[in-house]
Amino acid sequence: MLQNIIDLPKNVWRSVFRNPLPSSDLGRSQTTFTNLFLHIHPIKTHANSLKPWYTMGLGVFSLSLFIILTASGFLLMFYYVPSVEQAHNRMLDLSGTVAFGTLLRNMHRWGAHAMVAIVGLHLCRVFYTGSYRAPREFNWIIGVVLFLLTLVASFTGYLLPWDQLAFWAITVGTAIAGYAPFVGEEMRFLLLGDRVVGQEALIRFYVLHVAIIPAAITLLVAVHFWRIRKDGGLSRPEGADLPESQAQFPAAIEGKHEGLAPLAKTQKTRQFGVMGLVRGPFTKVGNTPDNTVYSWPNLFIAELFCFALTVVVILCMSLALNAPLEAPADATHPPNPSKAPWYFLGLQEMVSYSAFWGGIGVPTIFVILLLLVPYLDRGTRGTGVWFSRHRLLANVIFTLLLITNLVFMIIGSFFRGPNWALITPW
Amino acid sequence: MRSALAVLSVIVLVIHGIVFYDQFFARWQEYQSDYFAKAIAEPGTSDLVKETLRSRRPAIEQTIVRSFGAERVDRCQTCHIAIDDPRFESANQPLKTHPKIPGHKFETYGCTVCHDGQGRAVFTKAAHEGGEDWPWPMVSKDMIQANCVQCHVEPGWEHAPLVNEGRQLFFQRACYTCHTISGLSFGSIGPELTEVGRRRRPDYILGKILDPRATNPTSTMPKQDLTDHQRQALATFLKAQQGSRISRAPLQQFVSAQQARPEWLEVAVIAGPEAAQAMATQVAAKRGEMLLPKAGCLSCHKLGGVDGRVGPDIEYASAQRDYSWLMAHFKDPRSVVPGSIMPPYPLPNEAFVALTEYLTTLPMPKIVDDPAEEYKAICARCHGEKGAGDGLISRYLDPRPRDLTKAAFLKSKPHERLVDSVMNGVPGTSMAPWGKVLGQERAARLVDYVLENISKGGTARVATNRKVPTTNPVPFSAESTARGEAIFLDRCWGCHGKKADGHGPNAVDIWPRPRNLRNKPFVTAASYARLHESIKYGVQGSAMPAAGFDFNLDDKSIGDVINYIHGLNGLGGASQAAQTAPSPETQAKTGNTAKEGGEKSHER
Repeated sequence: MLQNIIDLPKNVWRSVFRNPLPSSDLGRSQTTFTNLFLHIHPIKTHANSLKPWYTMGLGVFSLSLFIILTASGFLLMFYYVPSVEQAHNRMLDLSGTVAFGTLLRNMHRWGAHAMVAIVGLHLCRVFYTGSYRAPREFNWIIGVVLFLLTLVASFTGYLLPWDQLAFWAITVGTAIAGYAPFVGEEMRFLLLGDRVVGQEALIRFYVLHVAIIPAAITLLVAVHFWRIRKDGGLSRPEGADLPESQAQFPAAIEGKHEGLAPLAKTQKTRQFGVMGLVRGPFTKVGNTPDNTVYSWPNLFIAELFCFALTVVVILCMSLALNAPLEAPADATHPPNPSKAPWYFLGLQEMVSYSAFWGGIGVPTIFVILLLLVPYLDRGTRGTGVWFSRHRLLANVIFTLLLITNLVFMIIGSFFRGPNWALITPW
Repeated sequence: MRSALAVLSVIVLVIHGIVFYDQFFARWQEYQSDYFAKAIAEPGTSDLVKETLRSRRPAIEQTIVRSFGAERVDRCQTCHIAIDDPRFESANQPLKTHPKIPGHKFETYGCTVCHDGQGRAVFTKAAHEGGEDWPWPMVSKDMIQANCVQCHVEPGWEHAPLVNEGRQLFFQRACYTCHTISGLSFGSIGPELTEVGRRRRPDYILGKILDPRATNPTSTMPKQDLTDHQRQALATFLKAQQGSRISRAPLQQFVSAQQARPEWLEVAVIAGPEAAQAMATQVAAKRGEMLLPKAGCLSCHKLGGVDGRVGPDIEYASAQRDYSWLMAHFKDPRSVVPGSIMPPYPLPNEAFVALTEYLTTLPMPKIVDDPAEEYKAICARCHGEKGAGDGLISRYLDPRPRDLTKAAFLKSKPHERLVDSVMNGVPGTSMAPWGKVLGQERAARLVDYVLENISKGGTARVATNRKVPTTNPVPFSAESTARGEAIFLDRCWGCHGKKADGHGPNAVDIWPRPRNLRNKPFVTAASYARLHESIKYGVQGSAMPAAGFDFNLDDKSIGDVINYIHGLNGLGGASQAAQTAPSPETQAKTGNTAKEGGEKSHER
């Protein structure tokens, strides 16, 4: 009995963490495999996926931001009331009288902007490395949908402070939706619950923002990760999987670099089994020679680093810059110009030339093109390499569209003054 | 990678430390601790109070005010904790005693009802200024009066002198003629100001009075010549215009707005019942004299040493304008000067009669008998000291005063026409007839003076051998105007505009501006020959080309165009026969008051 009490801490620890810190390959495998959060990862990760400049960690940054946003968002929900009478006052209270209130709001605001940007960059990374190609077509589509959901999440959250910025940005944004042919007005009405932005719109945007869209994102992120595994890990260039006889392990991976566990050099003596059979040519089963390292600790350290970096950057931004809060929304007093959030300013700029083409036509074509890309580009050469010469055409078209949108965004952000007239920002 | 993660972890920890420090130590806590310490140290503090103070810990203090409109939460006392402690009268802010105002308890009134600012904030800048676009930053000590009168609604309340003065200025400076304030004025030219105090920051209101064009370059609001004090008073009055008064129930509000008498009758026209009686016993001209400064005329015009620096000089009105012109002008200034920025005055007819009587009997000042002095006295106000058409009030006139330095224009015109313009004015513009002021001889001398001293240099092709019909070779008909319109929309609209209002796409770069061909008094008065000549041979010194040659228009085509222009102005065929007939519309307007003499001012 006494022994039991003495062993209590040790036993509690062991019951929670089933494995001691691993010192063998078996231990590393088991640690990864027996932990809910870690078993999402493969036991071994391809060395190419760990190259910092290949992925730039953008996927992990996106997830980190989503986690930060969820956490800060939950805390903000304790204080927020989605009512036109109270919402703005709650924002004011948050900034002075709630412990960490300003910080939470800042983190949520800057995190949201950062997430739109980072998810967009992630999409670019996947495109420029040709990673959308077979067999990852469907995961690309999920990724594009996730990008759109991120935009919608940020857009719906924009209304909630119920200040002038929010009110008029949403008025402009939803007006763009109204330009869609046939269903435009109905779509707008469905979104706002009214002809104008008001209490109905606020509650709808709130529910979308705190429940429906986060749930959808969570679900799709799970599918996204699942598909990464099932599609054979991250994309990599041809020849990254070295035949056993020619295996040339880079010094960093071989263990000369401090902190990286030595590779399992000889596949034949592996002590672990892969728990399940998977279709497809890329998943490593049996004795296929490869170029992998154990996920514990190589992958996990990299991921933790990305997460910590995200936390640091968002915290620093939140300390340095306060999220803007303008005067309470006033439906009879529009600011001039009223601008949509920055990521929609490209759209708004295009809308200023043609309501239908700028707001609906061009973006729809762009999204459809994005969704169809993996089915239009069926090549295999150049996959897994940044700006591959074999993918020149696709990259040039994508870059052109991207730059056009960026230019429109910059014009809309900085060069548009009252009445949407051209101005110089200095 | 591991060492990088280790470094990053340390940074994460440090930043969390900063975050906690940042969030847990606020300035208001220091202020409160300071207050407790000072209050305990104050001599004469009883032990019981000391004990209470010692046990107090810094906390957010707030007053929730429900009696004044929407619920207010004022946390000002979190920093200003000593406002009700009489011992801190000489202390520095934020620990200073608030002066006692009888009947105003902090618990009932809070702070922002009077001071504005953002009551929920507990940090200085956020509370006092409330962020960039907060519409209600703290008002200055003077401007607080604007908030006093939200409850103290009786007009002329003695403790709000700035508001009262601003209200007077609002009428004296003729603001009421353009702006609507519900229950007070009915102007429709400028933006409504009923809620301006609730919607606009005080600095915005002040800035707008100071320079109306600062934020809106196309504003036609005249810049008023006000002292700093007057500007402050006007801004305070406007700040007090908050639509609904917080002290009144909505029903009261509605009823009082419905019952509100147009107060300009008292303030502007009669200046109170006593003045009304005094005025009633006078003859009309005397009433006009009393009324003129009160109705705001001199906030733009110049008379008897007062100069609003916006509108024309009216010192010589008796010699320039007759009864019917003045009455028509009072009722609708644009009926006689289509480009006028003067608003139609919301005054009763008797007021116009009184003002007209006064102006037509006004003794006019003497002008020194010397062309240079004459030019300075009567021309320079519009045409500018150097004659470049950029005088003091030129920016408010449409069409702009003629640029007299354009020698090509002046020298290509016959001397008689120039003298005629001076003598009889130019109908439809602000150029007044100076004939009765100067006389033929002095007018001719003045023209010579201008030609010699201002229209220096420059050569003009002297027109010789021009063949211009004196009557339209094409009779007025629908077909003719249709042909004329086709030519106009082919050749003329680029400068004169599709509506022929002188605002074509090319007009912005053209100086002098293209003529507004919808200026009915002008078109009516211009002889057929003059229009024909201008189209056929162009106008030297302006951008008008010799369309007859450049565009190969024969006399008949030009006749079609002129028929079209006449048709636009509703002149029809009648104008050909009687080129100098006044427009039927003007006649109808002026007809009731004075039939005779109506035509004269329109003659050229």
